Amino acid sequence: MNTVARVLAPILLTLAGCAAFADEYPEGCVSCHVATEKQDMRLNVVLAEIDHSMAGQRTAVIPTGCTRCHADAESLGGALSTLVHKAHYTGTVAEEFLGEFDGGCHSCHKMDDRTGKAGLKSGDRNWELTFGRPK
Amino acid sequence: MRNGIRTLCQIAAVGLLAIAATATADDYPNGCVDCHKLAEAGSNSKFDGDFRLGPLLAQIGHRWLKKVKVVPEDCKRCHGPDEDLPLATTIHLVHYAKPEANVYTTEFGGKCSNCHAMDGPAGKALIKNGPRNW
Repeated sequence: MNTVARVLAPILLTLAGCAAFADEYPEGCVSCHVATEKQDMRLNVVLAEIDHSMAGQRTAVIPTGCTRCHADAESLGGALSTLVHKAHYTGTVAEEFLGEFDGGCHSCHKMDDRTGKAGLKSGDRNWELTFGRPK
Repeated sequence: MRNGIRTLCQIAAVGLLAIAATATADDYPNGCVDCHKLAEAGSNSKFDGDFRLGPLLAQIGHRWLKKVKVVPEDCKRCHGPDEDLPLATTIHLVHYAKPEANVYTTEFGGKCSNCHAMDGPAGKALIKNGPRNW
């Protein structure tokens, strides 16, 4: 019995540890911005509401592809990091993001525990194109 | 009866406001030095010990930090982004290497917001600072 417990204990502890560190948002933006029965928060819908150009809809990998226009402050659309930080950390959206959705840096960023560099999560767009196809 | 319900609603509203305020309150406004402090026996800290950065770094052979007054801003004098041991990388590795076994994440529930703050209107992430506590 003791032997079984000795073998099982580390396995269970490891599994518990993994569960505790499971990433609820492994793909960043598209893991949160989804369509639910309550509301459609997919980025193609949200961006259409603020009159974003259709280039957003054609973006295949989010937010990596967004850097076509949002690479840095000198880019056509300004720096993505600044825009996204502002959008999530000011006004009523901040209350929803930080409160209702318990959002934080970890929602979009991940830490590479071998290099000590914080990176960006990304994932494929979660909407169908309604016109054209990306080349 | 109606007054009773109104009072109950008011109490609930105050309670909710208190919870919201707690949720957004910053437990670590000064960053490093708010976690790394002297936790004496009998204090409410999870562990007792001297976790101040002066004594802690001395234990690993770091030179004495006599010129450091603001932490971690002054650390950048030797640990700038282009130095051999950039502060950001070093601190991230110390706190996030093997997160499933690292006491920062497992015991203290540490996260980005312990050291970083967000300037929402500017859209810029910041590093919190505080006066040295040793």
